[in-house]
Amino acid sequence: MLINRRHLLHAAAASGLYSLLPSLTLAATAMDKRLVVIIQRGGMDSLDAVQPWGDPAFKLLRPNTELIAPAPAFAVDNFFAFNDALKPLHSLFEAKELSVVHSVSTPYRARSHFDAQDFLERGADDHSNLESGWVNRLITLLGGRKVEFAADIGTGASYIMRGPAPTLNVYPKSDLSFWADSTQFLQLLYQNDPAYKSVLDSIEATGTEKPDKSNPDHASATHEVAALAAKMLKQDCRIAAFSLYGWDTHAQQTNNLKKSLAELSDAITTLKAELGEVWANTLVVVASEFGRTAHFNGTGGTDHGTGGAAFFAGGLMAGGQGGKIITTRWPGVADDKLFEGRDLNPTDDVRRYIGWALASFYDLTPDKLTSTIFPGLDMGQQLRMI
Amino acid sequence: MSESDYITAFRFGFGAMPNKSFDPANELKTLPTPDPSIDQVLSVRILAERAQQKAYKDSGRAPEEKKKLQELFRDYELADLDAEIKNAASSDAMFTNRLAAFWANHFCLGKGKQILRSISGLYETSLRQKIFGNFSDLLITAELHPAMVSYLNLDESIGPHSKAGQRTGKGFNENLGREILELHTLGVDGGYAQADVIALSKILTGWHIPKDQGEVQFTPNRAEPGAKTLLGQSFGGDRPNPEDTYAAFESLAKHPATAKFIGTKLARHFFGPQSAAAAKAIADVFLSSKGNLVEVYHTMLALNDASAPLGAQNRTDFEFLVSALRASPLRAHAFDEQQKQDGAEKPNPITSGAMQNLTQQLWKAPSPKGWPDDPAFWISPTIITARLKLIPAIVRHYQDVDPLIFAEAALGPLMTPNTRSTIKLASNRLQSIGLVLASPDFNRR
Repeated sequence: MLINRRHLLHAAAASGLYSLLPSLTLAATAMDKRLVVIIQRGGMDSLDAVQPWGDPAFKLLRPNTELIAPAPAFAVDNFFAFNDALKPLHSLFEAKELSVVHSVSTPYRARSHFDAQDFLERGADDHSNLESGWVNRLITLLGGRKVEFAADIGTGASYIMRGPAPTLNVYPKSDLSFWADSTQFLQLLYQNDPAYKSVLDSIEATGTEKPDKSNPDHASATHEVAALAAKMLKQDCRIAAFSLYGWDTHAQQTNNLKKSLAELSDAITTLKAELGEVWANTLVVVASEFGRTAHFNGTGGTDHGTGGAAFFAGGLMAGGQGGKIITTRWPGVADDKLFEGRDLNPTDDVRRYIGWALASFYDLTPDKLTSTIFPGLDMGQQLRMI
Repeated sequence: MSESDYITAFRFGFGAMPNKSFDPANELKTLPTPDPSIDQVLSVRILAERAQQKAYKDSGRAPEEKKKLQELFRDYELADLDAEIKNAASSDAMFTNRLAAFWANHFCLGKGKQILRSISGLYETSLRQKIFGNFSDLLITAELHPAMVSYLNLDESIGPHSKAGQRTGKGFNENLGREILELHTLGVDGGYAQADVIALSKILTGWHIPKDQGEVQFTPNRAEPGAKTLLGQSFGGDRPNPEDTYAAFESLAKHPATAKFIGTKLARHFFGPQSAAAAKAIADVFLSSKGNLVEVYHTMLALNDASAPLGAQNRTDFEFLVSALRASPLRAHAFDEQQKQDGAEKPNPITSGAMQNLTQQLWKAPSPKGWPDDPAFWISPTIITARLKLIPAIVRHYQDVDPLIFAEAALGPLMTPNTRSTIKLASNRLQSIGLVLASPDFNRR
């Protein structure tokens, strides 16, 4: 299926997508910027990913010492050490292109994956009456009118991209040769059904190139997804979002978490490598719906918790918090410091860090963020993330 | 067949049946006889997997033993997928098969331990034995099934004050306990607290698959002793026993929040997201009949929503595939066709192979919440792209069918004028039949 942009734009206009958008002009600066949002679905154990060895209580926290490395493998400052599965990110950290915000969460306090993910993606609590994701609202704010402006990569329909602004949903496997000469018929078939029609527009805009599987080291699904995100961001796309799975480590966490952390490392290093020069103008935000219990449970894992961590990466980080592990206030992991006696205590709202990063990145005033992107958020004191 | 027949067939089945009438209520009159051999088959598979795992370890992790292990998983996995799709595509009991798919997604399995690959298909078979009984029996069967016990880590959970817990220093996790409350019974707003998650998780300790056994058993030495308070009610005592778990499940099954949650899910699945009145009607019968599922289904079929126009929901990938295979009689050998690739046998391209290439992976949901009953999810570009890619493999079997007759049989009065005129324009027969399967008329329900 060939991309015919003129046709596509015509189709998008005819389907009424444009009428939903305010007539903003996209600022040239925003056009240069690339945003990638990665959601770690399942709840990452931030205490295992970025370990607070400087807190004396941490060494006592997980008494079965074989469960975690006996010594800090990748100390990144005098307090924290990366899990060794994050080793590939170490050089990025040293180049000040990566920072971690620790002991944060959304204001959501119950422990359901799905409600917590909805909160993170909606960017507000469920009393906000918002049925759109915050990235979708950001697209509208930035004036991203084209369907190619933002892509949801993977199985699609994630809440963070949901809403009136047109987005693409792409997956790195499209081979539609049977339909190669049938596009016109599919267009006719879907012309009266707006939902199907916009789906077809999306498929056409994506094109049908197959991923390069020649390099066996880079054959993983995560690598393909990250590479596709980078490819699209180098073309017309300015915002991409995708998800990483495998964080719900209720049992045998030590090995299982390493696999997921290795995928996270792969995703970020792939983005940097594939984006090339564009990396200098890229912001990557990685967040999970919640953290996990501070103590290991009885099965070598951790259960659903509260405070967690978020990652920020990109070429612009060096001018801000790059090369740092930041916390608004380290809560401590002694038993009496834990949230409800069990979880890492969140000492700040993760949306504040994302909010200030977006504010610098897109030159947005804080009131734009609190009125549109993260309703209900108190932006508080300015944070120079970038 | 009238338009209302087509509506019923799309809503409660997999589309119209050529030359046959479909009445879902008929399937509630003569219920399928339970098949007691399922537990034996399950046990044989678990033991076979364990024996091969042992052989692999004993061989010093020899590559050829690993290969045998992988082949064992693959064979079971493909055989179950083939059987599932072939059965749904050929059986007249369409409503039964839709209900089985609904419940398998409600009590869903996802990717997890290797053993799941050899028993996940059988899990749905086990659930089928209970979907016309009482909800509490279905609940017990689901939660204490070897597949669920493995998937949500109950097999590793041990009461910290049990004998085994004291000896090994091990304890429990909250995985299954939480998901039972949040996803299988009360629902996330069902009024439980963290303390209830912990209480249920402790009640569940003791259940596991013993090393030399092929089934889930209760071992008192692994179970947390002492009373546990779940939703204000006390369960268990100094001598833990299976009855504590059954009593807790009975109590959850009869809880009004469970009735409401199941009513909402059934209504949403069959009638779409805007079906609050239907949800309440189903919940009321669920509660008053104490979870009698046949009464619940009868209520559902008798609602006005049952005959309302279609379009509030979209077919899942599984429903799409089965409906496409049922749309017209298939060529005789379609289900048994085997393909070779690089000397190895390839999964059948219209059954297991087809399912593996769609977005929805049976018994491998992306999370314990299952595949969403969200109509928008099933018309994303990813979903439709995969269906468009699959269609050529299916229409290959319809080579000698006239496209207009095919379209009439598949869609009847549901066919929109636009679909009718578009399929007439197609440049060849296969393309024309492919367009029928790709049409919104065929994919909405």
